[in-house]
Amino acid sequence: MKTIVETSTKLSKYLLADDVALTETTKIITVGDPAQFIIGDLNSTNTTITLNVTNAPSDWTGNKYFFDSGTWSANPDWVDPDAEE
Amino acid sequence: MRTLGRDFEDTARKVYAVASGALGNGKTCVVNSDGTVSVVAGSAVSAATGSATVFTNNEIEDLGISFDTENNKVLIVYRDKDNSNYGTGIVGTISGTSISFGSATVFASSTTLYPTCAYSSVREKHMVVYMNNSASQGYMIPATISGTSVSFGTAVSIADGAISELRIVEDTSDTSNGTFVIIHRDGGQDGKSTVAQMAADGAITKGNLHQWEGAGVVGISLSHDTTNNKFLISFQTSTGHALVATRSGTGFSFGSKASFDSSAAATYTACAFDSVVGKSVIAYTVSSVGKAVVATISGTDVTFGNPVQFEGGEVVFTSAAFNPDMKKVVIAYHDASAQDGKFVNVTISNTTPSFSTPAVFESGEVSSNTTANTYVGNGKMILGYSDKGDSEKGKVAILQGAHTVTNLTSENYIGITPNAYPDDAGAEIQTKGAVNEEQSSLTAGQSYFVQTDGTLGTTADDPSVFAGTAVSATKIIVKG
Repeated sequence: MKTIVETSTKLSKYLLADDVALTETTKIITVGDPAQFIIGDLNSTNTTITLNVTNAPSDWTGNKYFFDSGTWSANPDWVDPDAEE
Repeated sequence: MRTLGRDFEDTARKVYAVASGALGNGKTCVVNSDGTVSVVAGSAVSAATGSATVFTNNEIEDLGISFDTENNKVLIVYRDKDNSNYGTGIVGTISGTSISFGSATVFASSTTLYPTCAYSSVREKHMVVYMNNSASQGYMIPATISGTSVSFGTAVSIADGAISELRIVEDTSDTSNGTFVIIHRDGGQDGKSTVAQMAADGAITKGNLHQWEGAGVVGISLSHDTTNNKFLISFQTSTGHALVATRSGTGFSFGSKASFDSSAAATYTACAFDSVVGKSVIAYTVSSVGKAVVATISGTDVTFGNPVQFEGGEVVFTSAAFNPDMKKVVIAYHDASAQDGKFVNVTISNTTPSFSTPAVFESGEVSSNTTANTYVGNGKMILGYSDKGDSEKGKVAILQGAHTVTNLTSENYIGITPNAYPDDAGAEIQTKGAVNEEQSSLTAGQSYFVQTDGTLGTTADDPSVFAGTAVSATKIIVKG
């Protein structure tokens, strides 16, 4: 797996299979080739991509975990939106 | 003595031009952009419902749609539950009752609730509003369509703290700034509003928050009464209420709230302004059935006609929008009794609404918070929803509304033919002040208006075009 981490917060924003192509520019990140979708609010200047991640939490979802130097830790501020409704 | 309508010399009061299409005798005519002339004609477009089209195979919830009149595209924004609940946008291109889509673009890689959007005809950009649940703040972000792609600018906070509902409309009265009116229900159940203005480069400025109702607000909706240049806010606070908001710069003043149905709690309010009639329709659910009222704004007050039922089943997730070609408000909703997505067309007569028979746009359950309803030109509406019977995929249906297409505008009527002419022939058109003697069954002394099908009628059609005044059963003094 590979993860896209917001550099300033260390939050893991995306967790993708190794074979999913990522194309980064200073404005956007394109996921897949051909494009599956585009990430419009992240780019090469504000993210860090880590490849060959093997220990991602089984209940991973975006913003639920920090990923820092290969270590996962829970984000205490994350709220399940479906639990709120 | 002067002869009414015609000089003895009979000069002018006629124009010669090349006929584009055959011109019948005694027919009303328009001048075309190339200088040729044609008879006024209208053709009927029949109602049709396009097939449901998937815009994402992912599970979605909450969505909004705005129509880009510059690019003739729609922007759909939604909460992508299969992608960490991220706020996502996609561009749709409509052809007939079909639609195709570009690639989805995430505008907020954070938990995004209640996204919806509106288009600025001044800036030719969209404004997306949403609740960033990760930051516990409401945000707005500009969006620009290019081809089949959408790009987003810098997000600006609407308000600190949780937001539970959001609505946005463009203030079309401001032709200099890209101005939007935004209302929301905050975490304390207060109803609040703000003005946002978008610069040419998409930069956003906002006014202060204004509270229009205290605690207990739910089921909010917003429409712009362009006749009175007021904003109508509908909502439930114990029962169904509405009030008038007046924008001044980046601030507001509010009229007193008024109840439109005091019989029971009114949920899922959805309001839309009928710009032909100059009144609004508020749809809502009361005692598990769907009803609607006509709302009339006068000054800062709003009054209502009697509620009329449009659906006997339990109505939820209601949306409303005006179709100016049909000259009707379209209400879309989920019939939770029949488990179908449905719509009705609303005709306003004075202060009373009447409805078409409810029609199905989705045979199956439509998921929560997920009907969106937007006019997209040429008599069409687009309905967006989450199809619960199909893994809650994001889908749209295009509704072609029945209406008449005409070549008549408020400016291009020039007169009436005194003879018949074949296509491409030189033709004489009798213009203002001339007396056309090729009519029948007119009433002397009666004013006549050009109808969109080219006939003469005693009431104005839309557009309103004065044809002339009859002086006998067969003669009319031409205006043009």
